[in-house]
Parts: sequence; structure tokens; C-alpha cells
Amino acid sequence: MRKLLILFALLIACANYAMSQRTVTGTVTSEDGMVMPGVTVVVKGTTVGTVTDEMGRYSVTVPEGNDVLVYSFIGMKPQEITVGNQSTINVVMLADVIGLEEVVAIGYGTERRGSITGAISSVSTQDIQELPIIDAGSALQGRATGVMALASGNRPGDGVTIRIRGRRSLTATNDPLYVVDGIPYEGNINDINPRDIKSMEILKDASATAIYGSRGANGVILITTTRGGNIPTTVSYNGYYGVTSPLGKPDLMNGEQYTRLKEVGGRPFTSAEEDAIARGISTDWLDLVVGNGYQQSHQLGVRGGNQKTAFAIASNLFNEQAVIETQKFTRKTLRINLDHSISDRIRIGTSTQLSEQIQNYGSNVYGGAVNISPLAEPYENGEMVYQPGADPLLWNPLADFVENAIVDDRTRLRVFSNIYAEIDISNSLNYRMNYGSDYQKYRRGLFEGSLSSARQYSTPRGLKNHEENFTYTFENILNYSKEFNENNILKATGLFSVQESNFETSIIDVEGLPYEHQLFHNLETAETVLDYDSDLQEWGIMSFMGRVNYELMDKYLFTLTGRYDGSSRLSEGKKWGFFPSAAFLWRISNESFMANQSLFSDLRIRASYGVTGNTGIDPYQTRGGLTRTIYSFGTGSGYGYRPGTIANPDLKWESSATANIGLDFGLGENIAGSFELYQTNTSDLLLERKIPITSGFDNVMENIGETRNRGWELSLSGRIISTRDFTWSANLNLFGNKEEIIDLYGNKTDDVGNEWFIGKPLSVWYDYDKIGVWQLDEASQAEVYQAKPGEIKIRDVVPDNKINEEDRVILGTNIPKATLGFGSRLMYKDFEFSFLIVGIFGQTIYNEFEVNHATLQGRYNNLNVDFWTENNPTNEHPKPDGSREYPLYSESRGYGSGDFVKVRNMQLAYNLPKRNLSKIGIKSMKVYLNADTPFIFSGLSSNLDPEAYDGVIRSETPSTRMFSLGINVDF
Amino acid sequence: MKKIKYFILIFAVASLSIVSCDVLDEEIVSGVTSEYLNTPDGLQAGVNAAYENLRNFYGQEEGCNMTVFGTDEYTNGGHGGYHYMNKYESGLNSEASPFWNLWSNFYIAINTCNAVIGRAEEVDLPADEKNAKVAEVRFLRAHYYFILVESFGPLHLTLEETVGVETEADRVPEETVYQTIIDDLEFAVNNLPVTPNEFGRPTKPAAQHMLALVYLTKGYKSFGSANDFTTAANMAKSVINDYGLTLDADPVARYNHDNEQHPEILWSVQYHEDPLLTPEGNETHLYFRPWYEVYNDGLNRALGHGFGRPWIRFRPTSWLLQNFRPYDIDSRFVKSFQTVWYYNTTSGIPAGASVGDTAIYLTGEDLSQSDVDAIEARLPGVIAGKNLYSWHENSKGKVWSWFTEDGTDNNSINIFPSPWKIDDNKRPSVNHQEGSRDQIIYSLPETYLLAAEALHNSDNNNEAAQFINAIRTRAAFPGMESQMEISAAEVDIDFILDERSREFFGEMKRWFDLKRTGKLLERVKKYNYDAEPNIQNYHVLRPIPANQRTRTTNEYPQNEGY
Repeated sequence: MRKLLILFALLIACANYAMSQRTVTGTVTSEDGMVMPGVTVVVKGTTVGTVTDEMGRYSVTVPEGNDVLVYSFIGMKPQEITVGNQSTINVVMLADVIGLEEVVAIGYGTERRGSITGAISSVSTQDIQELPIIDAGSALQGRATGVMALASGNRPGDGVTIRIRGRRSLTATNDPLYVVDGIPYEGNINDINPRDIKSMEILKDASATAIYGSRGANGVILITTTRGGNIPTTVSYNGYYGVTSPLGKPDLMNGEQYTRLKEVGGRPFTSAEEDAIARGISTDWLDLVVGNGYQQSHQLGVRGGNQKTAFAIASNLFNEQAVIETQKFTRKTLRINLDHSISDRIRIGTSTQLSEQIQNYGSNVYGGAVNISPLAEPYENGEMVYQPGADPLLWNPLADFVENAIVDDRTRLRVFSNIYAEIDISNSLNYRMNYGSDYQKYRRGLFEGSLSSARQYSTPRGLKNHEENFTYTFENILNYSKEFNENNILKATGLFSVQESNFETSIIDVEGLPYEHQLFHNLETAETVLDYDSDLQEWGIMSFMGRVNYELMDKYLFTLTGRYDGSSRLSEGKKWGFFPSAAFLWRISNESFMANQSLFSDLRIRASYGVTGNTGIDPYQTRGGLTRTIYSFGTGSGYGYRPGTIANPDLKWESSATANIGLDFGLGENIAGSFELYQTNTSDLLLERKIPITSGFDNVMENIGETRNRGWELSLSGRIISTRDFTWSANLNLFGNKEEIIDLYGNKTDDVGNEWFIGKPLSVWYDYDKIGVWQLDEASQAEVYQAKPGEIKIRDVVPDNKINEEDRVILGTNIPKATLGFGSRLMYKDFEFSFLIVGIFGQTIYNEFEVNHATLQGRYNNLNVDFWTENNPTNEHPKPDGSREYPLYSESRGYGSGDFVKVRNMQLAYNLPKRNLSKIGIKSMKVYLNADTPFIFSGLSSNLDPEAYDGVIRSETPSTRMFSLGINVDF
Repeated sequence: MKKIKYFILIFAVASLSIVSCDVLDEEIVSGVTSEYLNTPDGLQAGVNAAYENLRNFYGQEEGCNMTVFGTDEYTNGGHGGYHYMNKYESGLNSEASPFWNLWSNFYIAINTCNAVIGRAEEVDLPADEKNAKVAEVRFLRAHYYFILVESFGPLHLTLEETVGVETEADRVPEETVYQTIIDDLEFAVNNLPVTPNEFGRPTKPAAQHMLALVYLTKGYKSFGSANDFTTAANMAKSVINDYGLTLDADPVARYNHDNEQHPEILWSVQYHEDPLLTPEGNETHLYFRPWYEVYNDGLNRALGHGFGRPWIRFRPTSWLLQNFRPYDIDSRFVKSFQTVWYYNTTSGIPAGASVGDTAIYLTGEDLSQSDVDAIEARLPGVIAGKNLYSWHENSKGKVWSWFTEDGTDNNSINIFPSPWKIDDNKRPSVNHQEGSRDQIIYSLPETYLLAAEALHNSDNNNEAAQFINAIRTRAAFPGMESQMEISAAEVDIDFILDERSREFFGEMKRWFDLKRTGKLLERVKKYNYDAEPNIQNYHVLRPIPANQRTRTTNEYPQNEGY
């Protein structure tokens, strides 16, 4: 104890000695009054300087003989201020396009953009907050190179699926790791209100991600939320309201066309249908179930603080109703971010987020409406007909619109809170402790009433599912930073961290509820229990991490990192893994030979190599185990256990080795860009390998096989016009990625059973190749294949006069070859216009919608397709056949190009003149009109949306466009 | 000093929180590890587990596709996606899901059996108790292999629990598989009790019955011998004579859903009314039912005797219905089929009709125009060619013809007599798929016909006729017994097959019966007009599933023709 005290006394003495020079302090804010952490403050002509803290404050020691401070930040104009005899200098930074001094989060710290050795993309506050989006993931679409963000579904709250630099893993996850304010964020990021986000950084290469070790292989997304500062208290309101409508409407058969289909297909008519035909009935069911939806968001926030304390409090209400009235999403969030300085050296603070969301999932009435016969009528004498039309299974989709006919509420409560304490042990050594707790409670309540499409006169069903997840993260971080002289700067970070998670579930599913208004409550009153279950999963990770940055002569930067991770999921002896990386940056533009050229204002080359891991597997997977079986004997039960999985104690991390070369450049003052080339080789794949089932097992998890990702990324940002009244800026992101399976089982052979092929992407469409429809004059050839004219003609790839599994071929992949994002912003006086275009190229999609709704059977309504008849020798669709559920080789019709270009967003805004506003106590006010997805260009008919993360177009809720009106006010 | 106190405080908290390495310990709480099977309780759990996969085949559509479709009894109805299985079309290939369903589930079951049999040696239990349990499992393993080998021919034979990853598989000759089946069944016969501890577990007579079937099947094979028929006959006779089992006076009593433990039933796959015990139910009630609900107004889909949910998969061939003639002597047609449906709702009911009146009228009678006029006059809403049909030969070409074979009409594809033996009114709601009927696998009437077939093949038609007549006379309407009896001279393999159909039609046996007797092609070509153009010699073996062939690291040969 005594020794410790002496040590600290010495440290403080050193610090005091260092402070015996002239010191300038102050706060840096942006034009709109927000504090600006991370602004670099450098004494001109030296390397002496600092970076503003979380509250925008800085304190810099100005050596004798120097008198000018330079303030810089990316996106802002650098400012030079003469110190004179001021001791406090508060600075307001002005917007600029091109800058190198932006400070970005890099994981366990921050760094100036110009000194970053890895591949990191950033998405700014403005880009995130401008779009009317539900979740943070959607903000990444088109904004960052290497990031593919595609819709997971079109129900409100479905969000997007994100892949960074393609996929690496065949059976383990390809989801990136999310880190919010320093703490890993498990699960669904749509709990986070995007309007609370200050910036997002996407860490892509091993140099950037290796500090996340075993969880870094899929890339890391760092989310930083807005904080307060030493600024006047500002109350802000941001809100918008928008109306949504479907992007397109599929061309379904009307009554007359459907009648003809049935006639051609030889499907008999019921008397009800004959009657409907006679009366000329043709019901447009889609019109009945699809309407306009709406979306609204209201955010009220207060930010402010003083020298010692900063706060940011915000609450948000988001609410959307889909174009199908029964599908809704509501989220309420509350955020409190606090920072307080106990003394000059000790700071504490918290980021706390409370979110409550409810997704009213509804039923798939869209699919129902597409299926039901146009000869059926929804009402008779004003009463709902539950089984309209010929087929009793085709329930009236409107029945699900009756209140409480179907209730499927999925609610999630989440408290994500972290606290930190930070001590400057000396000027160059800093200790930080983070403790983050994440509590999630999920509840699904499902009720299906007797008259709903799900029950169809059967007794009501109720289901209740609870999930509880508690995760804590505890981190100890030491940061060391030392400028030995202007040519030698050393920074080092060390980390010890522990994370543990506990996940419990329970479910009960019943039918035969005595009364309908009980919904999914009081389930013990049910006649029959369909299912009940409960489960527990626990895991833990322990880690040590170190990082060293060394900067030599302002030209050469070296970064070395290593992380040593232990995981409970792996067995003894395999628990620990080491993940190193090294990176190098060369600032060519600082070389003397570059002094005389004017083309490049900035030129940097980066190179990195490192290894990261993928946790991938679920807990207990190394252990093997028994599967519970269900049987009965007479009137009694007969539960049992059989061998269920093969134990594999040798499982270890899947590891990805990434090499990355990057070129950062500035052309003059107005253009900046980056170009990256990378290759990732992932080996020891955690592979759920399919094995011959004659062994009694369908698959086994193994570390086997290898994949490779190669890609390029280009980002360009430029200020095209910049005058006092008019500015025009643009950003281009263009990138391509090529996935390839290098090996599977060590012998370079394909795994046809899993549809994995050497040299091909991780998922391909492997199916029969439709080359047309057998025509009348080909009857004899068709007969060889036991086919008849009017049936689908398949390419006989292995020419043996048989169509069998050997005739399947690779028809494409659902992963795009290239992705484009182009955003632009024009400002004229108080007006702003911006847009964002995204594009996907080179992917093949499977149009399940068309396959499932062109069955040509005449039982369900059909897309109005061009089908074969004796008089219409088309090669598009086969001859209708009323005796088949779907045509032979039906799925072969579904494959096609998924390329699209979307205008993702367009916005026109007007900033009300500040001088007028200030008279009524308003700091600033902006009103805007926004169009979300106003245009889409693709090969799909009827304006249908090809965007789907897995490349499958389904007959679910359609995607939408939205026109909205919004307002941002600061008081 | 104040700062240092804070620092120490934080550091102390931090140190305390740096919990020891048990963060990385993995403890299985909610699951159970493999060693459990070595305990007495675990052994019982393993025995129970060996049954589960029966339910993946019996009472399921995919199983029926392999046993009901493509026979002389059944062809396809208007609905469903497996018509190729009936028609022997190109879709019947190595990727067709019914084959994979059988193959995968039964091999999972076989590994379970192997695990139980192997681990039983370690389990601390008295020998006789242990042997009885092992005998159950060996009976099941024999059953799984028997269905597989009859479907696929030579195949992978494994008798040991799989430990570690196996990526190779071989095909051993049918003869070797048969020897394993016989060994297992002999052990079962010697160690199973005569009456089961719980209904649904095999008994000694059940094992003998199956052994009789196995020997009978083997007798027809190239590697079989005449002795096999003798052994089969003796085995069957032992079942009939040694346990006091008797035939019920009622030929369909064993199908009573309220009496599923009928003494005639030797072994049945168990289903239960409790959904927790029946995640996969017996779904045959869906598949054999015609689309009655659309054939008249005033007729709704409903739960109850003679209604139910229709999936219109399996439609009787004309032969199946004609085979029961004369309907007034042999009671089994009348007792086995529903041919009339009644109005069950006033909504939309035709003028003059009431709930409970006839709405659909199917008949085998030879109707004249005046008969038809009389029926139409008597039954409001019943109209020839709409919901009044006859399958009598003479009706061909008439508006009320049910026939399709001349290709000019399509009257029968969705409306046909529905078997009572699949009716399931114990389901909680009409659309509930998971039925609770047990699927009868082996029953005493079949033992009689196995005995007859074995005796016939041993050139003992006299005795064969006795067993056949025992079945036939009890099936007669009262007073008609003598007209049902046949003479020894009338016994031939076709008659036995006809008789089997009258007893067991639709019971997932027919394809195997036709294959065993070498009659598959002949009778399918003769009686199943949808399958007739396509069936080939090679169809007596099913294709090895593509998944098996692509997953093995060595070559796993395909059956010829596929």
C-alpha cells in the first residue's frame, strides 16, 4: 500500500513538472453548437498537440516560441488561431469536405484518420440521421465500401442483413460484431435508435479487427452515440411523418383469365364457380388487403453541460404501420449519456439505453390474397364469407383483419447500460475500466382465433414464448502514449476483458381455448397442450489484448496487435486462441520528393496482415449428446433418448487471415479517396459437414475446409462546387467481392449434397436448367424423356436421354459481384437537396414468388403469365395441368438476374433563416420533404423489388416507397 | 490523496471482478450426455427411442407413396405433388423425397438400435430383463432392415453404434441382410414375452409373424429355398395355434378407433391423442379421403363420422372396388368403404333437401336411366354426373360413369369411395393433421394369409385353402358363408393377392406384396392405368437417394435404371 502511494506521488510529480509551461484550454464546437470530441489541436510547426475529449474540451501546452494553434477535424476546415495572451480559446469549426484529421473510433480507442493503418469506413451523423430508417443497419446501405446491407424482410422491424466483405463461413455465422460505446452488442441492433448515433465505423481488415480476436473475422461495426459537452443547453425536436405504399403490384389473373386457365388445365369447375363466371365476378383480392401505411418518428432530446459534467438525454418514439394494416412496429427508446470529471485526472460516466419495442407481426394475408380465386367474393349480403370460392382451404384473407382474429406480438425490452471510470495515471498512461450490462427480455404472444386463416373454424390456439438474456462485459484498459521527440511517437494499449452470457427460454403452445378474448393469457384453460419447453445456454469469453502503434518521422507508422481469447464453447486444450496482426502506413506525401508536386495533397499507402477468428458454434457443441425422442405405448407415454450428435472435442476457432493494401489519396483540395485490395483466406472452417446417413448421423461439425474472399473497394468524395451560396458534394462507393470455396474435405472435391463447389461462391443456385417448353413438333424427342409437348424442357447436361440429378448445373449465386452507392448533396443558400442511389450487380435471384404463384394448376389464382397451349408455342411457362400441384421442374423457372439500381432516398430541405428564429428563441429549424425509394430499376416485372439478402423473392409483405415530411428544431 | 483512494477503490473492484477461470468452464445443465445410455434408466430410454422413426414412415404421406401408390389398388387423386410415385414417371428418381425420407429415418433408427444393443452389455441389469429389452430392439432393427432391403436391394449393413465420423458406406448382398434380419428375429422370438408390458411393444407372436413374412419373402429369392416356405408356414401356424388367438367374427373389428388393442392386432405403430405424444401423427385420414365438400352444396368440411379433411391423394383403382364383388355376399366392401355423404349444413342446401339427407351417392350398382331418374327424384340435389356416379362396368360412357380409363372423362379423380379404416374423429379440430390412429403392421388375419401363401408355395393347397376360408367365411354376410368358401384348386397366387387386398388394402403393404410375389409389373400394368405406360422391370428396386451417393467418400453404386 505504502509503495503504491509513493509510486503515485512520483507520477504526479512528473506530471507537474511537465506542466510548467504555458497552457491553453478551451472547448471546440461545431457550427450547430454540438461539442466536437476528437478535434485535433496542434501547435503549429511542432508535433505537440492533443485531441479534444468527449466533451469537446482540450488542454494544450504551448512551448516557448510557438504562438499558433491549428484545429482540425475531418469534414471541417482547419483553423489557425494565434494564441497571444489568451489562456482560454473556444473554437467553432466550420464544415469542409476534404480533411484528414477526422478522429475515428478504432476499437478500444480513437485515432486520426490520417494515422489509421487499417481499412476502416466511417458513416457520419448526417448520413445516418437524414434517412427515415428504423435501424442502424439500414443506414449503412450505400454509405460504406465493403458493406452489403440488404433487406431481411419487408415487415416493419425486419431490418437488414449485413455482410462485410462477403461471407467466409459455410455454417458458422457471417454476422459482424457490433460494439456500442465500447461494449459488444449481442443480437438485434434494431433496438438502437439510429437518431442517437453519432457515428458508425466499420472495421474491415485484420489490422483493425484483430483486437476483437475470435470475434473479428466477420468485421466489426463500432457505434458511437451522441454525448453532451461544455455547451449551452440545447433542446431538440426531430420528427417526421410519412405515408408508405407498395413499390409494385404483381399482375395476377382476373376472373376471365383464371377461368381460361382452368379450362386449359382441365380443372373441373364447381357449381359456385360456374355461378361466379355467369355473373362476371372478378375480385381483386390484393386491392382488398394492401393499402397505404405510415411511419412516424418523434425525438426529443436535451444536451448540454459545463466544464465538469456533460449530459445528453433523448427519448424517441418510432411507429410504423405496414401497407398491410395488421403489421406494425413500435419502438420507444430512452438514452442517458453522462460524463463527469471528479478531478482533472479522474472521469466517470455512463451510456445507458432503454428500449422497448413491439412488432405486431400479423399473418401473411398477402400470400393468402395472391392465392385466392378471383372468382370468389369476400362478402355475401354484407357478411364475411370465410370460405369463399371453390377451395375450402382458401380462407378469406380479410378474416385476419378482424380485431384480435390473429395476434402475434413480439416485444423486446432491453437495458443496455455501461459505466466507465478513467484515470490519468500520468500524462502518458491512462487506465480505463468499463462495465457493461445488457439485459434483454423477449416475449412472443400468439393468438389465433377460430375464424382466422390459421385456424379455419378450429378451436383457438395460444402460444407464449419468453426469452431472457443477460450478458455482462468487464474490461480493464491501459493506454500509454508518449512522444519521445517529434520523430518518435509511441502508443500502446493493453486490455483484459471478461464476458459472460446467460440465456433462458420457455415456451408453451396450446389449443382449444375456451373463450377468445383471453388471447394468449390464462393458457391453463386450454383443452390441449401442443408443446412446452424450456432451455438454458451459457457461455463465457476471457481475453487479453495488446496493441502498439509507433510513428516514425511523421511518415512511417507501424501497428502491431495481438489478442488471446479463451472460450467456454470449446473443449479443454482447445479453449485458447491467439490472433495477431501487423500493419504499416507510409505517408508518401510527407516525403521530400513529393514536396514539389501539386497533384496529390495527400498520399498514403497502407499494408496489413493478420488473423482473426469466428466463434461461430453454439455452446455445448463439442460435447455430443442425446436427442430426446417421443413415442407412446397404448395410452401411456414413451419418451426416450437416442444418440443425436457426434461429439467433436477437437473443435477450435475458425480463423481468417487477411491481407489488405490500401491507398488513400487527396487530389487537390476537393477530392479525396481510398482504394483497397484485400484477400481473406479462412481456414479450419467450422463446417456442418453432411455425412452419409447410413452412419445414423446427418452431419457433424468439423474444422475443415477453406474459403477465400478477394475484393476491391473504391471510395471517392469530392466537393464539386463550393461557393459562398452554393455547394455541391458527392460520395461514391463502389466495391466488388468474390467468394470462393478453396477446399472442403482436404481433397478438393465438391460436396454436391450441400451444394458446395470448389472454386464457386459459398452459396449457389444448383438446379435444372430450363431451356424452354417442349413444342408440338418435338413430341418424339420429348417422349425420350417421358415428357409431353407443353411440359418444361430441361437441358440434358449429361447426355444419356434421362433427366436426373446429374443434369443439374450451377445457375448463379445469390451474392452480388459488385455494389454501388452514390450520394450527393446540393446546398443553395438555405436550401438543401440530397439523394442516395444504391445498386447491386451480378447476382442471381430465385423468384419463389413467381414459381409459387404460377403453378398453373387452377386451384389457386395464378400470375398472369404466358403459358403454353397448342396455339401458343411459348417457351416461358408450361401448359396448365389441373391434376398437378405444380409443373414438373417448376423451380427451374425461378432463376434470373437480381441486378437493380434504386434511388434509395431523395430529400429537399429548407433551413429557416437563423436571424429570424433567434427572435423567438429558436436556434435553428429545418423542414424537409423526403422520398424513400422513389425509383427502382430492375429486371423484375410489375416493379417488384429484387432486394433480398438471400436472393429469394417471397410472397410476403411487399416492399414500399414512402413520402414524408419532417422537421428538426433546436431551442 | 483523494484521487489515489478512488484509484485504489476502482482497482480493488476490478480485481474482485476478475473472476477465476471458471468463466471458461462449460457445464451442461439442460442437456444430457451420451453416457446416460449406459445406465438402466438410459437403456430403457434408448429402447423407447428405437421406435420413434417408425412414425416417420408409417401413417405418413411419403411412406404411403412408396407402398400404396403404383400398385393395383391405388392410383393418384386430383391433389398432391407425388403423382410421379404412382405413375413411375421421371420424377421418381434418386432425388425424390419419399426415398430419402425412408432411407434417412430408418438408418438413424438403426444406429439407435445398434447403440442400445451394444451398450446393453455394460448396463447393470439381470440378464433376462436385459435380453427382453434387447429383443425389442433387435425386432425393430430387423423391421427397419427388412423394409429397406425390400425397397432398395443390396445396401449398407451396420450392426455397431457409429463412433466418430464415418464417410464410407458399402452395399452388401441381400442375402447377407436377410441373414442379419433372421438372426435378430430369432433372438426376438426367444426373448420376447408373449404378452407385452405395454401395448405397442413387440411380442413373441409378433416376432414369429414377422419371421414368417421374412422367410416367405426369402423363399421367392434366388438365394432362397423351398425350406424357407416350410419354415414360414410353421412359424405362422405357431402364431395361430400356440397362443389362444382367435379371429373376431367381425372382419373389420380391429379397425375400431375405440378399441385399438384388439386381440387380432399383433403389432401396431402407436399414435396418441395427446399432441405432446404425437408431434407427427397418423395422417392417412387426410390422404385417402375424396374432395367430398365441393361435390354438393349444403356439404361442409367437418369433423365427424364420414367427414374430415380431404387431401385427395390416393384414389382406388376400379379393380380395388370390383375385387370385393359380390357385395351382397362378402361383407367387407360394405363394411370397409364410405360411398354416401350426407348434407351437414343448411347453408346453400339444395331446395327440398334437409341436413342428413344424401348429398353424394357413389355406387357399384348397374344403373339404368330409370334407376338414375328415380334416385334423382328421391334425393334432392343429387344429380347424375355431378355427385351421382357408378363404377359398374356397364356405366362406361354414361353420364354417371365414374370411370376414367377411356380417357374421356375425369369423374373419379377427386370423388371416390373413402375407406373407413382411416377415419379419425378423435382429432381436436377438422383441419388438425396429426391423427391418433395406430397404424396396424401385423395382425392375425395376415398370419392366416401368410400361412396360406407359404403353404401354397409348398404345394399344399389343401391346407392353404383352410386358412383362406377361415378368413373368408367370417367375412361373409350371415348365411353366405358357404358361398365364400373356395376349394384347394382355386388357390393360386393371384387369388391370395386378391384376398390380401380385401383384407389389407391401403395398409402400406401392397407394393411389397406385389414385389414379393413377382406380380408387381403384371398387376400394375393390368389394373393401374396411370402407371401402366411407364413401369419398367427396374422399378422393382427403388433408387438409392442422391444424398447417400453424394455424401460418401467412396462410390456408392446406384440401382440399375436410375
